[in-house]
Amino acid sequence: MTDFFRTYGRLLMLDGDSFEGLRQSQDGVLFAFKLFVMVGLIAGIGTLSGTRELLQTPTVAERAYQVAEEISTWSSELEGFIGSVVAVPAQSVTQWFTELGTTLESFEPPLGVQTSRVIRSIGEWLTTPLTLLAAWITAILPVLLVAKLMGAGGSLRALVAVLLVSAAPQVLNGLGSFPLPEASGWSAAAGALEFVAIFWGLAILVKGLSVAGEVDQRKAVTIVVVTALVFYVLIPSIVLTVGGLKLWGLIQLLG
Amino acid sequence: MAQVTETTSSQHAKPGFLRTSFRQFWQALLLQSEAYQPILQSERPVRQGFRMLTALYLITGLITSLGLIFHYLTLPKVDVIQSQVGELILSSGLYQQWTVEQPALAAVVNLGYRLFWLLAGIRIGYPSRLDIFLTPLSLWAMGLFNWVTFAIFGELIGRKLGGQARRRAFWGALAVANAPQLLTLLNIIPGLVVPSSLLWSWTLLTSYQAVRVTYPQLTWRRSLSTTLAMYALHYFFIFLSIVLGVLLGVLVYSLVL
Repeated sequence: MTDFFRTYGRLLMLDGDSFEGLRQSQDGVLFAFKLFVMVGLIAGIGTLSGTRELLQTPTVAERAYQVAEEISTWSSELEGFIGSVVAVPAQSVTQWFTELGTTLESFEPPLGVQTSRVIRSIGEWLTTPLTLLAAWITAILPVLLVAKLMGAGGSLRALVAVLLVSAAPQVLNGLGSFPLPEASGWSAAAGALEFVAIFWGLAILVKGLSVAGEVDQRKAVTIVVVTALVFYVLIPSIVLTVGGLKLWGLIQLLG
Repeated sequence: MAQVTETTSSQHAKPGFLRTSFRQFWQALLLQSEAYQPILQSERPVRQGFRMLTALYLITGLITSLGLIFHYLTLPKVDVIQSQVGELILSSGLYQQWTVEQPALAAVVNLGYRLFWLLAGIRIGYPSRLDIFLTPLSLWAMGLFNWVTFAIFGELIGRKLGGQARRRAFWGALAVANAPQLLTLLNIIPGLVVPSSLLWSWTLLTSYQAVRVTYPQLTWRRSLSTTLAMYALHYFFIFLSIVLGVLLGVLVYSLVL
């Protein structure tokens, strides 16, 4: 475990030997998986922030029972002043709320509302590493393709392992995962950290690409720029233009 | 004593089928090309691949079923809400009045109501009893179907592009390339969702590696072309079968009427 954190720290510091070690390691992808588990759990820690409140918030059925009880108490208190005038209507309203509570209770999850909420919010938190990995691998596949087309070497395992570790600075997104008040110092800090994480990640991506792809750093930068231009500017522009023209043609045809 | 030692050592020398298979799947998930060697050297790669896939899909299916039970236990009872709200609608004066005036409306409301709850159930991932019981079987059947179609197209294209390997060797390698299915074991945790894009992307990587390992003569470009063409043909034929199915349905319907 200590080794993991040591390597993680060195990768963040763009240490060439650590990248080389990862490239040669049989378990490079396993290291990347562990990294995603750690980074993802920290980056999504804010999703657990409401768990305590969830445990304290009464369920809808409990609220209905509370209302029924309050009406019943209020009616018996009033009886001392104005007699039994309100007793009959109050009883029927109390009964209605009690029945509502019973019905709502029958809809509740078998494990109970609060327990289920806590279990599911933990499950959602545990999903964060997988969501992050899915986003990263989708973003990295085009980089791999362009790198290979531009003459990069290296095995698939080495390239994937080294490129995946560019997610390492995403731990900085931990703050942004909390529900922060808008236009506050905290939200500005979270935004700044997200910005840093992106550029730090890009630096790791370039360094990793140069090591695993056996290319110099200038070529690695070119690969990343070409990928961004082709996959995130050119292709979407072409798709939008063609789609727009077709839609315009359709509108003309219908008009 | 000697007999016991011998038995123990033979057990060490020959680990069980499940253990070996899952070790190979784990290696393939970590993109280690060594994972494919045992099945490529196997005398019957199709049979071996079938057994491995059956074990993989039935075990991950059982775990997914267990996960669905946990999902069921932590979600509101959608079926109870559906029946209670349904009763409320059916017994309302407005509905009674409408159905007397327009009897066809009852069928439309009934169908729309059922469809709404079906979609709501899918949206929140509420499992039915049938989902829980049939998941292992449906995963297994879908997994085998995908394996067969991918293997047919992949072997065909790989060979056309100059790949050389023993017949059906690719079938074995492609079975091991189903390794990302291991990630679905995490489905046991309620609220956790394994993104399908992750499964899809990682299977693309393992399938590419299976092509590379089976046909080492192919350049990376040809290996990638084989992998992508295999995917394209698979989805094209699925699309074609849906279109033809609909057309056939329309034809039969028009002939009957």
